[in-house]
Amino acid sequence: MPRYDSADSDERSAKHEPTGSVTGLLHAAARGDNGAADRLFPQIYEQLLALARSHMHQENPGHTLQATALVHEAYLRLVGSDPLSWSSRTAFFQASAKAMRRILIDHARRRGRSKRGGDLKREPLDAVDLAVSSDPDEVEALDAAVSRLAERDPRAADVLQLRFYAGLSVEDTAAALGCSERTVKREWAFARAWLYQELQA
Amino acid sequence: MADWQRVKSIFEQLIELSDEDRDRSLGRLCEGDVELRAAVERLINAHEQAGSFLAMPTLDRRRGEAEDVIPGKPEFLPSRIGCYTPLEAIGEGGFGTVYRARQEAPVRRIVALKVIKPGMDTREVIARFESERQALAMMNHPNIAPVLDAGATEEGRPYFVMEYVPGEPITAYCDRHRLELRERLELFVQVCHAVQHAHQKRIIHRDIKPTNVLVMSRDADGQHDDDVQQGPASGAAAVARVIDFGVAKAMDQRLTEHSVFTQEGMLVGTLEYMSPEQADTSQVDIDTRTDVYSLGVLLYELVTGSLPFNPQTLRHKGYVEIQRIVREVEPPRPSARLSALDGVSSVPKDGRSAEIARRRGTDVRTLIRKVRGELDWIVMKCLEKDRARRYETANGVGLEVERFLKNEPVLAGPPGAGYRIRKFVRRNRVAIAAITGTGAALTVGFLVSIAGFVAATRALDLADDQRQLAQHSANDARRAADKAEAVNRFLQDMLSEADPRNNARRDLTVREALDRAVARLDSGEMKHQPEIEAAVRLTVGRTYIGLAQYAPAETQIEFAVDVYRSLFGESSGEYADALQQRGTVRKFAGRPVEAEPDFRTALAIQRSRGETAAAEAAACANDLATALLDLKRFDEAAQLQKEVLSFARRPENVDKPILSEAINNMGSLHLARGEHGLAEPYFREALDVNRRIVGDLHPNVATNLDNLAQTLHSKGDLDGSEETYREALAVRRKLFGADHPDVATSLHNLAVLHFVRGNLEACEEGLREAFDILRRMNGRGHPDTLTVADSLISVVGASGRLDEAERLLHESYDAVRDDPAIPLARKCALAERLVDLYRAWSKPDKADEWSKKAEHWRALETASTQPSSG
Repeated sequence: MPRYDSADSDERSAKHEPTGSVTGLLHAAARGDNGAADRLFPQIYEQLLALARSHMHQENPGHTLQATALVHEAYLRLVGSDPLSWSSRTAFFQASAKAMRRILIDHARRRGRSKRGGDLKREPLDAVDLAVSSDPDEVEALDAAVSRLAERDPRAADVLQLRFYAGLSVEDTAAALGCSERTVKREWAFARAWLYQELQA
Repeated sequence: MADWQRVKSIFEQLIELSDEDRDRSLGRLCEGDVELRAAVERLINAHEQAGSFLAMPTLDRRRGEAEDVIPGKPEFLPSRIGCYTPLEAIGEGGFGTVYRARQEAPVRRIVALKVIKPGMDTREVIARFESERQALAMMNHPNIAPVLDAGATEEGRPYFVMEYVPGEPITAYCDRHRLELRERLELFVQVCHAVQHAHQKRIIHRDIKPTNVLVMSRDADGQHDDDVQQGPASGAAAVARVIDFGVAKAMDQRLTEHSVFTQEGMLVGTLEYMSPEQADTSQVDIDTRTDVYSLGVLLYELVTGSLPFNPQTLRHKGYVEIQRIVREVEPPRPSARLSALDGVSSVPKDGRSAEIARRRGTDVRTLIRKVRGELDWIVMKCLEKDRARRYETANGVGLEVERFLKNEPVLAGPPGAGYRIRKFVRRNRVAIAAITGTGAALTVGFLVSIAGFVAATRALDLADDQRQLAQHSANDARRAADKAEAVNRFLQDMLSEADPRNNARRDLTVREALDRAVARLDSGEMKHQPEIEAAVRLTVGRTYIGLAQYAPAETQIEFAVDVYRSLFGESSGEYADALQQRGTVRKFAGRPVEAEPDFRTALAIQRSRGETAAAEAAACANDLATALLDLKRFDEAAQLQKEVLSFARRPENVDKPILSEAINNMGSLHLARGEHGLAEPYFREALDVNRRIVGDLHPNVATNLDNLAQTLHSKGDLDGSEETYREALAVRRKLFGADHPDVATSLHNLAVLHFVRGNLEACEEGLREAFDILRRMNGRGHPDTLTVADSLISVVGASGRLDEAERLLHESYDAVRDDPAIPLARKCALAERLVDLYRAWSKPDKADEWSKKAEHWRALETASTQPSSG
C-alpha cells in the first residue's frame, strides 16, 4: 500500500521523465496541462483493465477484488515510489476514478446485454469477466445518477468519485481537493444521501 | 428539488445533530417552506437509510464474499461504543462493520468490535448470546480468539467484542505465502483442534469459513506480516485462530428465502460453507457434525483453490435450487475438480489449475497425484449429505488429516460397499422426481381430487339437513306421511341418539350413528317398507362414502339398486340414481373400470327421461367423465365434460354445485393432460363460484384449492403452491378431522412439494402420516395407498434404509399380486423395484428371483395389450 503522507516538496522531479510516462504526464497535468491529463486517462484505464484481467485469472477463486485496491495497485505500478506532489497525485486519482467508473459501467452494460441474450461476442472485458457485485441495471442507474450529480453539484461529485471510485480516504480526498476534512465528510454525506434517494425513486 | 444550495446547507447542519435536535431544528431552518422541508426530509431519510451504500465498489467474478477483511476506508468512525473507542474499520460486509477498537475499562487493550447492521432484533440477539455466554467463557484454546462481550450501541444495534487478531483469512494467507499442501494441512489441523475444543464445551460454531479463520505468522506476531518474501513461512510458523464463536448462533443466521434475496452479500458469503441440514429451513437441529461439514468445505478450498459448488452457480440460483444443490448434489472429488480445472481451462497461458498448483509450490500433475485417493476420501467424508456418514467430531477430521500427513492409513475409504447403495439412492431420487414431474398423469386417481367432491359434499349437506331436521322435529314428525318423510324420521331418530353437538368429533358421531342405523335396518325394522328401507340405505351409503367407508357404503347401495330395480324397473329414475351411487362408490374405491358401466347405464336412463331429468343426466355425465379421467381416456372425458359445462353454465344453474363441479373438472382434465396454463383459470373460477355459493369452509373449496396448488406446482410457483396446499389441508382438517383420505391427499401433495424443495425429513413425515391414514381407511391395496407407498419407498430408499424399503415393497406387492383390478404394469413395476433394491444391496440371488417375477408380469402385460391376432 502506498503511503500518501509524504512531504509535498517534490515539484522538482529530479530525473526528467519521458513525456509519455505517467509520472511525467502527472506532473504536466498538475501544472495545468490539459493535453497531458487527456493522455493520462487512457494509460491509467489500460493499466486498470490489465490489472483486473490478470487478477481475475490469477487470484484464488472467490478472492474479492476491490475496485479501489486496483486503483492503488495501478498507482504502485505506474508511479512506483516516485515522490509526487499532492497535485500530481490528485491528477492521478481523478483520472483513476474516471477510469474505474468507466470500467464498471462498460462491464455492467455488457453484462446487461448478455443477460438479455444479445451480443455473445466475447469482448476484452468479458474475457476478464470483471463483475461488480451488484446488478448491472443498478450500476447503470448509479452511473447516470452520478452524472446528474456532477451537473448540479460538481464539488459533491468530485468528492464522491475520489472516495468511491478511487477509494481515497477522507484525509486524502481533502488534500486532493484542497479543502478541510470536515467539508469532505459533509459533501460525502450529502452526495451519498442524494444518490441514495435518486436510486430509490 | 427546491433550491439546491439551501437544501444542502440545511441537510449538512442537520446531520450533525442528534435525532431530537434534528426534528426541532428542521422546522426552524425551513421557515415554513413546505417544499424545502420535504426535500430536506427526503435527504435526511436517505441519509439514515443509506447504510453501507457506496461503501466500496467490489469486483468479484466468483463470489460475493462480503466479509473479506480488507483494510477499510473508514467512513465516520463512531466516537464511542460502550466502553470501546473505534480506531479504524477493518472489515465491512453484509452483516455490518468490524472495527479495531480500544477498550478503556476494566483493562486497556485492543479488541475487534463487530457492529451488526440494523435489521435484527437486538434484544433477541443479545439474549441468545447470553444463553451461551458461560460456555463461551469456558473456552480457552490457543487457536480460538474468544468473543468477549456483546451489547447494544446507542442506536440499538447489537455488537460483539472479540479478541483482536491481526491476521488474514486462512485461504488468503496460504495463497500469499504459497504454502505447500502439507503446510496447509498442518494449519487445517490447528483449526480442527480449535473446533474440537469448542465442541467439548458444547459450543457449535455454525459459520466456519475462511474469513472466520484468521492466520498470522508466529514470529511476526502478525504485525509486520506483509510481504510475500518473508523467509520460509510455513504452516508450523503460522497460527490459525478461529473467531466468531457464538456469533452465528446469536445472530440466528439461517437460510431463509427472505435473507437470501435481501441480504445477498451476507448470506452468499456463507452459503458455500453451509451444511445440508443448515440449508434446510425447517431443520433446527444443528450439531457438531454441521461444523464437520463446513470444515470439509474449508479443506476442499485449501486443497483445490475452489469450492465444492460453484459459487457463481449458487449465487444465480433461487433459494429452492440452492437448497436442492446443497442437499442433493454431490460435488466432484477434489482431485477431479483439479483435473477439471486443468482440462477445461481455455485460458491460453497461466491456466487456473496451474496457478492453483503454483500457489501450492508444485505443478498440476503432482498436486493431483497427492490429492487423489486418501485426501479425496477424507474431504468427501466430511461433505457427506447424511451427517451420520460424516466424521463424528472435528477431532476425527484432524486425526485423519494427521494420519494422512504421517502416511498412516486413513479411516475414510473409497466409495466401495456404500457406493452401490448410493447409486440406488440416487435412482430413487429420480423415481420420486418422476412422480412429481409427471404428477398429473400418475395422480389423476388421487392427487387430482375430484374424489372428495361429490361424496363428501353430500355427506356434509346431509349432516346439515339432518341437524335442521332435528331442530324442526316436532313439525316434521307430525307431517310424516310419505316416503321422504319416513326416511327423514328414521335418520332423525338416528341422529338424535348421537347428537353431534355433544361430541367434538363429528365424523365419529356420524359413523356411529350410521353403524347403529344399519344394525337396526338389518334387524328387520323396516322390512315391510322396502321402498323406504332402500331410500334410507341409499342415504346411509352416501354418507359412508363421505366418510370414506367404501365397503359398508357399497353394501348399502347395492341393496337399493336391487330394490329399485324390482320395484320401479330398469328405466326408472330411482334405479338410475342408485346405479349412479354404486358407480360413485366403486370409483372411490379405486375401481373405475367397474364404475364406468354403472355411470353409462345411469346416464342413458336419465337422458331417455328428457328435459325433466336434464340435471340428473348432467350429474351422471359428470361422474362418468371423472371415471374416464381415471382410466386416462381423455378424449372421451373431454367430450362429456364440455357437454356438462355448457349445461352447468345455463343461467338457472348459477347457484348450483354442478356449476363449480363442472368447472373444476374441466380444470382437472387439463391438468391430467399437462396443460397447466389452461387448467389454472378453471380452478380459480371454480374456487370463486364455490366461495360464493357454499362459503370458505367446504370440501369443494378444499378440492379446488388442492387442484390449484398442484397447477401452481407444475408451473413452478412453489411458494404459491405450498401456501395453497396448506390452505386446503387446513380446510379439510377442520371438516373431516385428522383421519380422512382427503386429508391424506393434502398431506401427500405437501410432502411431494417438500421433496422438491429438498426437505426430505418433512417429506417423509408427511408421507408417513398420509400412508397411515390411507392404509387404515382405504386398505393397503387401494391405488391411492399404493401411490403414497411408492413415494414413501423412494424417500426411505433415498435415506439408505434398504430394509424398510424392502418391507414396504413386499407389502405393496403382496397387496396387489392377486388383485385383478390392479394393472399388470403396476405389479411389474413393483417387482422391478425389488430387483433394483436387491442389486443395490448386493443380494444377487434375490435380485434374480424377483427379476423372474418381473419378467412374468411383463410378459402378461405385453400379451394383454397386443391385439389378438386371430
